[in-house]
Amino acid sequence: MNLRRLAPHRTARRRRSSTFGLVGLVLSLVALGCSRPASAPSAEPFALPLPTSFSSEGAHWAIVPMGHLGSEANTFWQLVVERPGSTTWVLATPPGVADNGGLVVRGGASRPLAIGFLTSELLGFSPLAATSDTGHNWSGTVLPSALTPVPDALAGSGGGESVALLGREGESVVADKGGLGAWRTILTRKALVAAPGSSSCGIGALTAVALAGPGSGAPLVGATCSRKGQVGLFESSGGSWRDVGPRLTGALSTSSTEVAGLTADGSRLQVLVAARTGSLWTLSEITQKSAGTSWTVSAGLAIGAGTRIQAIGAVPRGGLFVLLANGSAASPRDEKLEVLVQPGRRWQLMTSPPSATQTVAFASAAPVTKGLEAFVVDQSTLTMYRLEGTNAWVKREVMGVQIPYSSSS
Amino acid sequence: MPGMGSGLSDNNSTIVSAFRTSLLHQGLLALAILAILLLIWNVIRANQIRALSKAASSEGEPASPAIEDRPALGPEPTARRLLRIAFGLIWVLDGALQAQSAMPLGMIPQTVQPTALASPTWVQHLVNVGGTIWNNHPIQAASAAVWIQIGIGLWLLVAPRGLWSRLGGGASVLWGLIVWVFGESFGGIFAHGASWLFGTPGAALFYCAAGVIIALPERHFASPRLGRIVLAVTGTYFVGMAVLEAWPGRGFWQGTSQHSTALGAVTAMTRSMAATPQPRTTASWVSSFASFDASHGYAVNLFVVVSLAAIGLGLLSGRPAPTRLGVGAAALMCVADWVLVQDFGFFGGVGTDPNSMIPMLFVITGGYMAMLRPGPAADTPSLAAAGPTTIGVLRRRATQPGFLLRALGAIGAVAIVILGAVPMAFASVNPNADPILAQATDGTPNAVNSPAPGFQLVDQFGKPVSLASLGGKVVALTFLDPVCTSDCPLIAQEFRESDNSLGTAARQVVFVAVVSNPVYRSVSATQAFDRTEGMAGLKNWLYLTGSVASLEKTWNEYGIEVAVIGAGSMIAHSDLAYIIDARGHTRYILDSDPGSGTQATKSSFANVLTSSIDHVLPSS
Repeated sequence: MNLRRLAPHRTARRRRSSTFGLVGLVLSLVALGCSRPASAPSAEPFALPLPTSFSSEGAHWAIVPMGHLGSEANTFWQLVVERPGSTTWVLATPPGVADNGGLVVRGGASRPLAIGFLTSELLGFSPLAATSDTGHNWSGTVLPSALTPVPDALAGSGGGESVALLGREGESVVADKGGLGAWRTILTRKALVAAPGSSSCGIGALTAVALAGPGSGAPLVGATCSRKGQVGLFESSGGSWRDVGPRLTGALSTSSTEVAGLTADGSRLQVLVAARTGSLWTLSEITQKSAGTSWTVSAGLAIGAGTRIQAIGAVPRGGLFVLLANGSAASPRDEKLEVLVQPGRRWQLMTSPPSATQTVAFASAAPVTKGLEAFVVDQSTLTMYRLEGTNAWVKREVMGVQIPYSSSS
Repeated sequence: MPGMGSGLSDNNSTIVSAFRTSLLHQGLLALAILAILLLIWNVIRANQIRALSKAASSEGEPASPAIEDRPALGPEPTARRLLRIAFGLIWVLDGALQAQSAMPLGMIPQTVQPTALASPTWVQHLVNVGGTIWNNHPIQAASAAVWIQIGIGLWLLVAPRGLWSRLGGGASVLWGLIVWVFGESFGGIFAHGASWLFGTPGAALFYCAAGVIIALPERHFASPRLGRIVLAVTGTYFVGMAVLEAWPGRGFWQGTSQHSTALGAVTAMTRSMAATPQPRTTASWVSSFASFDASHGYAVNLFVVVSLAAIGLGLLSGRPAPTRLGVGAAALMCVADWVLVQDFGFFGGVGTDPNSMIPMLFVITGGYMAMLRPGPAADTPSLAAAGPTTIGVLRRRATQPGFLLRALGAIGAVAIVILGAVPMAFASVNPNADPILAQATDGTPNAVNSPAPGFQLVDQFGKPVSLASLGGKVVALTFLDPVCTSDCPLIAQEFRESDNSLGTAARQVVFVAVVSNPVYRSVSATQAFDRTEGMAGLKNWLYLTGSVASLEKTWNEYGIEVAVIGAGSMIAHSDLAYIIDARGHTRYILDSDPGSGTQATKSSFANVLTSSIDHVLPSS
């Protein structure tokens, strides 16, 4: 069949032009579908790790994730303890509740030791477990809502009072006068944002709580600040909240900040500040010895792109360690251990811990290398290495843990 | 048991058995309909022949058939015939595939959800509407899909001409659109990774296109215009797909990334297709192509881009030779993609159709035929117009039994469609999920009649409560861990839903939970649970706790096992619910494992719970 005879030239031309129009329309739609809208640079918050170590009631403790670390439902956080007089670590994970969301310890000079559970799956509020006998026995209670997933979401004082930061971005702060069973709201983020004294910060999320600041013993709240160079630190005073955070100077004066850690023991307040400039974060510790006095600022620890903080914890006598790593949280590699032995000092790079170290624990401040241990996790096996001399990690103990896989789904 | 995991598998024996029974019953009904239609045909035929004999004898004409009296019916246009028969067969095949035993439970998670999840939120919401209906009534939905598709297929096959036939095309469009939107998430056109290779814009859209063409009046087949339009649209589509395929950064230019171990889009897709359960031969073909693409991803994509663009331009050319080449090349590419990338489309137990390549090829071929071989100039003449005399009409009716048979066949096909559609329509307006889901998870409630063990505990307000203090009311009793992260919140929601569905009868019922955690058993823990799970506002809800000793006594007497596992695990405990009547007798024991915990299973369990409570209410 001769198609030309059935399709006069004019009709064919009109058809071709409409066909080209159709092609053009489709190509435009395809191009539209493929192009990506321009987006503002992401303002990722500083990622705060939960693995840690600390000392309490004469015992050394560490919190590590175990199991299949790539899947939250099969990651089970464990609490291990080296009790006074003992030279071995034992499992002391509080029983009775799934801990796939992670564990946080009640910081400060509080007694007894209390551990908070971050929520996972369908649980909508955080359980708390307390022990007075270094983890032999635990009693359980609950918070009214879910703890904020930050290491310093829970704090206490020597008098038995506690504060807790609740909600995904720190929506509220609750306090308990003792017993951990009668929590009342003392602050909401909305109220703090609306408070006259908070405008110097430009509050984003609430990121840490503490009790017993120097002198006052009042609750303290850390926050992210969008105002350059301002540290978001607020103290309860006579029923209202006032901004007590310092203003950073020098290179960090143009950085937005986030309070990454908050420790107060009544005599000293230590604030770990993460300052962001572009894609780089700088970690500094600022310290205040008494209310209203000047702040001591440590040297900055630069954290480059691609590097994560694997663990943060305490070094005896007020020091601080930061374990940096590349790779994912589940498979850390190229670990670097930085220590701030004393407030105001420079960061000290230690011997690199073994690969896949989740956290480290310090037993001594002088010398800081004495009794330093690294906790390496391989699914259900926890291996403790001890630093011998200055650069030799020696396997000291291997602990097998019966991980209850699939029990949370 | 929380702490141990649970869920329904696609081949759950209860569901599979119910599905087969449903298909069997509906199949027998379909056969009965066909038998009745055959009977009607026989009666009408006898009447027609009798009427012809009577008329012929009165007019003195021979009653025997005469060739010259047959109506001058022109042949059905080739393109229409091709599309009608091809898509009729494809619909029947699709209907048969829908009868696979994994369909009721596997269809949504394995076939519908993957594409929906890769699509924008508004698509997910829309698809979720259909998914909810299917999940709530998996037996009715899966059976409906079988009969609707078989019905449409038969409709197209048995009704070649006229209004019935065109209506069949319309039905194909309507159901095709439903499948395209709710089953294929708009064919994945809004999803990430849309590609001609993977079936964009969705097989069902080609069913719709074919349905539209079949539904057109036959005069449209009288000129090549229809064919040219079809080829122009498909040609434009091919050019668009070539551009999409060539677009950088979408993962199609790489087999295995040079900078990481990440697989390219085609390699990843073909490897996953090769892993589908299927004959070893076809798996090896797909697997070999996946390996080839992993090594030569750039070359493969270049070939695809050039081929798609060339095919598109050929179809758009409007000239015979390039069009013929375009159709030929499209046939080769479609078959190659169907075998090597789409892996035939229907393997794995939840394959619903042969995917897009075969329907696409039929539409292109249909368009080519319509352009090349236009049909008769006019629509099929009506019966009345074909013969001038009464005897002529009667003779033609009597001598063309096929026409009547096809007409009755079409009615039968429509009846089969209705057979599937009507129960589905009723199910879709019923918000309560089919109880069979709960029965598939937990079995049927165990009927008993024995005095319920008493207990002395305190409620969520610290007030003492005993079983005796609840006398005169029906008690729905279960055991919940207030800090449980999986089953217990779901069971509480099921109790709340049952409470809601009881309506005013709920005043005669108390829903009671006993704490099943020896560590977290404080009143504040029960209050936090109630607040979080929305139980705090229920007037007839009690969450009881007490000392470890009193709790252990209650657990033992009700056969509840509680184990503290440690190492970060929640408490493991039995999931049971007891229905205790107003006299204090246990009447039903239900396994209350919430299974997969979907909205459908929650609703289904609530349905079973409500039904069990209904049986023991004083008024029943």
